[in-house]
Amino acid sequence: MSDRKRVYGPSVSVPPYFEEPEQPVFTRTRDVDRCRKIYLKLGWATKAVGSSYFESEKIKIACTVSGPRPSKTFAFRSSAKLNCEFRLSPFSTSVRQGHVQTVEEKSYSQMIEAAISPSILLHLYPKSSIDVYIQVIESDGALATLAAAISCASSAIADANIDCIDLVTGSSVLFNPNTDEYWIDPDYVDERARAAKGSVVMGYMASLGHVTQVWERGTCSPSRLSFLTEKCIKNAKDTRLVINHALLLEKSKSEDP
Amino acid sequence: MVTILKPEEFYVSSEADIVNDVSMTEMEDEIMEDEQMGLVDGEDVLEEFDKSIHQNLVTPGQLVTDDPQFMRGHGTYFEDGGIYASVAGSVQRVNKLISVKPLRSKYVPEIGDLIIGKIAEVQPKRWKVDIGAKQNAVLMLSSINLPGGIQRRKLETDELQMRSFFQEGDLLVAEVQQYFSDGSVSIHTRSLKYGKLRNGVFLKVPPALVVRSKSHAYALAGGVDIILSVNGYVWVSKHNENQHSSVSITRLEEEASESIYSNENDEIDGYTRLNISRVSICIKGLASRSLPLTQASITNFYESSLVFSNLQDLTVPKNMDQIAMEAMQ
Repeated sequence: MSDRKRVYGPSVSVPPYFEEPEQPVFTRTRDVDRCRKIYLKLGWATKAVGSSYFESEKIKIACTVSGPRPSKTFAFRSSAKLNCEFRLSPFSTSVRQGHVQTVEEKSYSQMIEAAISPSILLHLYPKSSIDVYIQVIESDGALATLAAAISCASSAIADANIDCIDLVTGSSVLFNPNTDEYWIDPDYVDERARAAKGSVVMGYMASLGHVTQVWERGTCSPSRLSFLTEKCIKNAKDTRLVINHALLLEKSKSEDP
Repeated sequence: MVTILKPEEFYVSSEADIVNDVSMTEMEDEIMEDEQMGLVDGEDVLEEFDKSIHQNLVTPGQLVTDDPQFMRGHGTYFEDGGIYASVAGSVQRVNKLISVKPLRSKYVPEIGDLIIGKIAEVQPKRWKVDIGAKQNAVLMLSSINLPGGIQRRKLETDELQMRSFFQEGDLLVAEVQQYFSDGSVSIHTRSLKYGKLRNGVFLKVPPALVVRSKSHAYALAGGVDIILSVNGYVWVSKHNENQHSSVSITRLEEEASESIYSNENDEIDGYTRLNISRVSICIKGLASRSLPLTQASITNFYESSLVFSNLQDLTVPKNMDQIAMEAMQ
């Protein structure tokens, strides 16, 4: 006896035919040396001590800073503790993510913390903690997103008027270890489609000319690494222009009355 | 004069395209006419921008001066024979002392400051009070008046009923008693001028806008009292007839009734409520326009605002601007 509640398919059926997915098209219209256009807005979050919104074509990052505030722990600290929390929104990448912070996000948090902590005068804030929350609304390539997050976090810290020796700007480059090819500020398509297995991400303090952190992946000769580092530094200086302009504009706007 | 040097090499013209905050300045409006949605070349932006901004604005890491005769103040650090800015703000000079004053900064306590705080935590023999500084302030059990004005040492029984005096979330007005090197402070309420706050509205304004003066508690027209604390917390309340500014220690017991730690608000009539709301809107209006908060400025703003009988009309930005213009003349 057949099950009345079950809907049977047709007796003659054909398996569905799916078209082959198109291979990614190289959408990079800008030069290999050229970074994406940047939009930066400071002080968007009224409740936070400092905040910044960073947009670079498809990359969209919001960052807020809380503190310096009393540390939760009772142990005495002679300098402030910097806590970074990097989170990708579930809809930010091509593959939907969960809400729980992944291992990758935690490692990115540590990388951002390592990049921006040398710039902050933490010894001026004993027994305190500074919390930086970075929320990626849209990502377009892991390398460029990490670099943008560093710049966004540093500009939010400056907006919070936390004493720092300089602002840290992030920069990224993708390179092919077998050829002389490289791509500044690579996007998702660059990372996926190009025959590139090497990358450099850097945190740079443009005013003092100090490199705070460098992450290099892939086989690379010292001379090549030096060349790529110079390219990153140039890109970081360009990003610093935007942050400076936004900061001064914010201050001059506030001073006008 | 302060020697403010030309910014470092990272200001030189760049190939990078820059998009910036669509601002209110005329300079940017001119640029916007030529460029779509604010996409302008780095060199053009900076040339135009450098002409328009105040020359004394600096960003972190920017060299303020390399003249050895100057001393460094707040918001600066010394490196390689030069004084550099550590915050974004305006350069200020007092004789040989150079400092950078950020627009919005956390409150830095000084002994004797009148402050409003919020109880953050109850700990053994002390309360932790949020006063908007880098560290929470400490209010010791020995630094408060007992209800009834009894003058004695605080015992274990008092420690057990600490939450009957102040509990988490309570607002209080106090005075800074001691300042410690790590940024934390000790406060006290050992006067009838200080204590728990009731019958009013709490506002938060930038501390830089509150001008330090002899008195920070004022009685305004319309039966409204305001406390403009130095830390940027403002309390607007119903006028208290029984407020004793100073009471001798012999009469303290008579004056300090059980009601000083009461959580119950008094009955407030509609007219006073409207006046409290009006004063609150006036203070917010002054703060949003970065105008200094003094008794005179608030009184002027309040009197100018009486043109609008409906408080909803008063909150319209255009009307606020009009009142601000009148009040500041």
